[in-house]
Amino acid sequence: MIKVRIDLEKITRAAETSMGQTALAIHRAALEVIAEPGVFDGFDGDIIDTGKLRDSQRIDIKSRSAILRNTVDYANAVRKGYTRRNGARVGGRDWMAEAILRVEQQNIFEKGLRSKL
Amino acid sequence: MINSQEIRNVLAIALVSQLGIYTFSNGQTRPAIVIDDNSDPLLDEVKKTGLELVIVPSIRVPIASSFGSFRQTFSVEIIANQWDITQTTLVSMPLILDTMKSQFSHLRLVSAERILRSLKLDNIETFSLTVSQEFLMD
Repeated sequence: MIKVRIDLEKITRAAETSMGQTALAIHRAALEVIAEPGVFDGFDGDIIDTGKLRDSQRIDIKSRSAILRNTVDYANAVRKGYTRRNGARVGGRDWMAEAILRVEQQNIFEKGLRSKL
Repeated sequence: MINSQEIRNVLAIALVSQLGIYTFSNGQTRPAIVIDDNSDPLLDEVKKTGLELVIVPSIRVPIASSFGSFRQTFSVEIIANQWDITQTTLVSMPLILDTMKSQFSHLRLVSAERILRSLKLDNIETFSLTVSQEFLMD
């Protein structure tokens, strides 16, 4: 007799680890985008001014989820754009969205999963 | 389809006591609510005070397929700008949300986001919410 069974625990562990690796790749890409000049239309330089926004990029990886965020108080304004008190509009530079576009999430996850099974 | 003018008219009435003022160079004033579709080019030259509502019809029309059919999504962003640095948009947002919910129940709230005032950026505080409506395409 041959009994075939699925090792769900192993699959789950592999998936969790691969998910973390995928999230980490997005985090690294976000840091890359912040420091890269000319990524966003209308801006020749990079996003870095004081370095506070770059240093406030955070990733919190848990077993089945990861949260990527920026903790500096003006992060949302830089990401979405804002209006100065003189009325001038400053366009948004959404480095998180750009990071997600750059990372081949499906590939990273699949490769990670395959290597652990 | 979403009617920006209708949204403007309803919000102008609901928020009549909260809206700020546009003051034009000739001294004329009017409530600070506008549709941002290039139909009002004078706005660059006005002085803005208090709460301003800017209604932005979407220029992006995403198309999504759903069970083989195609749907077109139209959206409108409502941006509340607070030009008075001693005030915030927080007082007005519940009224805006309640008004939208009661008068435009067919619209779906897509997102609501607040951008805080920052001394570093010298910006004003804003709150934006986006509503959308889907249509089946012919």
